[in-house]
Amino acid sequence: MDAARPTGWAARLTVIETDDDAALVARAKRGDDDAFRRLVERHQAAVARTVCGMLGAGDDADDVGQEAFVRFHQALESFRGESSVRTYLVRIAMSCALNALRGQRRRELRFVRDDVALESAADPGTQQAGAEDGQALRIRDALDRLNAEHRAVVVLRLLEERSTKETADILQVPEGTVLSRLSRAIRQLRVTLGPVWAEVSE
Amino acid sequence: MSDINETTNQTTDDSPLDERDLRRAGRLLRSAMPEAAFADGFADRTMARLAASRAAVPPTGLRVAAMQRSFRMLAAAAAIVIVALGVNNTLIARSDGTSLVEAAIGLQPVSAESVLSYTSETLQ
Repeated sequence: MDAARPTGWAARLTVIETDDDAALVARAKRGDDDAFRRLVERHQAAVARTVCGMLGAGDDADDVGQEAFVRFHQALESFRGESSVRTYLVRIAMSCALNALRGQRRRELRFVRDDVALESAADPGTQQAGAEDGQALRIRDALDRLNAEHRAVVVLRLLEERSTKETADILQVPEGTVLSRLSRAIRQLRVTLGPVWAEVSE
Repeated sequence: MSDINETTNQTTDDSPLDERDLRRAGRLLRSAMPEAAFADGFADRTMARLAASRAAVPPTGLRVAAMQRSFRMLAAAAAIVIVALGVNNTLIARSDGTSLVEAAIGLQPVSAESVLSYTSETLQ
């Protein structure tokens, strides 16, 4: 892990960013909304990657993203800075996304997406132009068919390219659990995607 | 960012993770979701939601004021009950010859005979 640590200017910039986060958190704790807004602007991309990876882009993801930041604000007093703001936020966002998934709201959206994919395939005029979109939909659908715990590992480990340790920290499970879930998820993706999986050359 | 190799051949209860499969899955997923971002104005919406969540929780001052109102109502009700009982005792029990104070607080009248009998029993 030490080899992956930034050095030189990158390290200094990381320190500056971390210090800025700490200062903004301290101000937000004192009720400074401008400071909290800056935290939102700074970290919304990381939260979006997590939430959209879990739920797909759309209103649901936006809603869960907002919820994650509101929860973060409510938890500011208990935030001790043991992990970075970004990691802490991603953990909250992942928890919110898992709750949303457990709420079964995704089922309706999956049906809508299936309909869109079928319409696209049935229309010859859009077949060529929509070929890439169709593949993306198929991949998205394969991801959605994973259960929530497996999907969380895939999103963090493969989509966000976090290390196994980081993934385990965020999900608060042992690293071995991350590895076994990843193995099962990839096996399922390979089966679900079939030809699409085979088309991707090494 | 992360080292894909670190996961290879480390699972116990599943088939070993194939490095090529990991790379392939990562590439597929990133191609399907090239950029994930919230719609414009996300920070505005979040701050508005934060304000709404604050408004939903009554501030401490309002909660204290509500408790004070409840306490005042309970205290007034208790005072009315006490006065009613006092009036009741006074009107009914004074007919037995008890004093006003004895009647108001509901004590039985004390006579010299009862005091003497109690004292003699105690001495014996």
